[in-house]
Amino acid sequence: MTSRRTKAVESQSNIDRDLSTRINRRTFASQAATGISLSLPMILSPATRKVLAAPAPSDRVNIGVIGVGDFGRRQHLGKLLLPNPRVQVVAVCDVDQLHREQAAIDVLTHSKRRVSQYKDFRNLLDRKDIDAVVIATPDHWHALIALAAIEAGKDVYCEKPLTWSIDEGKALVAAARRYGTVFQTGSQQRSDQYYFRQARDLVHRGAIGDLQRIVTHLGAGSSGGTIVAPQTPPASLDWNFWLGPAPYVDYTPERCHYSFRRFADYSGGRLTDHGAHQHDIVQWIIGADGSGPTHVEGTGTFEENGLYDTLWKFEVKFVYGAHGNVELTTTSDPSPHGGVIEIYGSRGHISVSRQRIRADDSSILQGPTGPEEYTSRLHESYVGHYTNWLDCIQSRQRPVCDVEMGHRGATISHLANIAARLQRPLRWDPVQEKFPDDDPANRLLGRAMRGTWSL
Amino acid sequence: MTDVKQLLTQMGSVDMAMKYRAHRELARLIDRETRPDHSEEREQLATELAMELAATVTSKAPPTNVPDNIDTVQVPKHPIAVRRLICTFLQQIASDKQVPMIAPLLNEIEIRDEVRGVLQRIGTTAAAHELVGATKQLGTEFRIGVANAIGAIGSISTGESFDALSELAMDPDTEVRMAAQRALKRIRVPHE
Repeated sequence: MTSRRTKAVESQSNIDRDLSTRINRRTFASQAATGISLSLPMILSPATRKVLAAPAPSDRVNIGVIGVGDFGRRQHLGKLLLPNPRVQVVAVCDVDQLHREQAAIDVLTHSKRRVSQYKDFRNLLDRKDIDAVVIATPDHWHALIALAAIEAGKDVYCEKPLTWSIDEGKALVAAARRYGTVFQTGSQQRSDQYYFRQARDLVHRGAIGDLQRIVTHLGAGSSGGTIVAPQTPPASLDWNFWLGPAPYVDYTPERCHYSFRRFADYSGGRLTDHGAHQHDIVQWIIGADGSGPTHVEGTGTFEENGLYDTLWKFEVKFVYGAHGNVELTTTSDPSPHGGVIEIYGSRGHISVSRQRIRADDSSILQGPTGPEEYTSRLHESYVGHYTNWLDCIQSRQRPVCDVEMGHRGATISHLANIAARLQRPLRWDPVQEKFPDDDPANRLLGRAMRGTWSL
Repeated sequence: MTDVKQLLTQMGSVDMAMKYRAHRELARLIDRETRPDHSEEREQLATELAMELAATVTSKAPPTNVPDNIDTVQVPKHPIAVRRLICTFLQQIASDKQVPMIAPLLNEIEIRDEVRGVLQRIGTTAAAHELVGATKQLGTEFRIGVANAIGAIGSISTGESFDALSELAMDPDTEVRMAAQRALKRIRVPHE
């Protein structure tokens, strides 16, 4: 531990030193490109100018991408990492051979470079030349891989929901703090420069008076799903490794890629999938990033005729006792106002989603953050989230959705699932992160992991 | 009154729809019995599940290449998939009272890792004691799991946990030694 802490301090000072030289080099390259382009506009092509303006290879962050299935390959690798001149993807990892091979082809096609392929994330983490990792695996793997990455001295971008359980989140926060990790949770709505930020700013400026109540409308989860008999896993997939810490069950395709989020062993259903985004914003608006609610109570139903075992419909209520008794309701029902998050104050109401923001009184939206400049630019929030992370890797500051924010936001989703399952009022201590005097409920804060896996 | 035995039998059915419905009904029952004023019902349910986990039935002995006089053998009452699910349920509600019933199953190779998980979640001194006894078993992966479990119980462990982990820290296998060292960092050494 001590040696790793020392290493973190050393790397901090190295980064400080690197920053000064990097700025000089970058400034020089930028000025050189500009100067040349002004004086010799006909000689250098746009592509050449782009190369001159890009960071030197030695200044790029070397990244390994762990989990390159659907979202990891399509979004992270394809749209965010490969086009980004500040990073260089040097390795990809997936327990499905088809995924990792296809991802490697993507890198070769885009960057004309071959990258290493790994089935086991631990082998990728052993590489000293990798500075940071992006984790886009199924949820039940997030914490274990992130913990190993932290201990290997890598900075981390981890998809939401950050964790499968509250105990995992506590371990992640402790480890990230111990090692000084720059850790971004993939709740990119925090980096949205438009509606969500505007809503938070309006609430914090008192535009709707005292904050009283927030309702998140997550939509219904998946219904039952098809009942299918177990099958032999495809030859390309290491099913045992895919399961990892989760209980062993025989393979069915529905359990695996993409639809894993409908199974409680691997995810928390709609409440953690969509809920992770909205609960993160709720925590941000309430100002409870390092804290949480004090009471939770809810109901939920499962679709009876199917394979899926996460909640189909739900309504869960929270009280933030340490934050003016603000109430939060998270529900599968649609909003009568059309928003994803409805925010009610003593003097008005704001309805916000990724596409728009509205208020019952339009004057609420006026002011320094007026409505006319806002348009839906979801993709910018993804790019902005990465930019923030990369900036923080250089500055060693905490990113806009740091590990604790990710953990606390995920905690709301996990608490909602627990309350809806147990169907009784629960008290929650956001400091100790336990249900006071309620051992059966506390048992649901984590699980014993299978085989050799452990937090 | 829900018939737990019947639900477990249905969970082992080849009828997939019946299997999943039974699983859901038992899960709902267990969630209901977590209410603070249902501690007796919870204990009763956990005991019944533990007994079903350990239950055996007489079965015709499989043929062997060596002639013997063994016609019948005792085999687990429930298929392995159902026994794993029972362990998942027991992780949620089992207590010290079920430890004597399930601890012998640490010797049963088919289910010992899941039983290790149940004892880890019970997390008491009695559960830790049984895990200490399992540290000498064969199987590298299992010994790693046991070391992890003792470490996870951590703060209430007794001196015997420390001694067992110290011994595992000298295991011939590197991974076991590493797991034992990690676990040693997590347990609180009792005062002399």
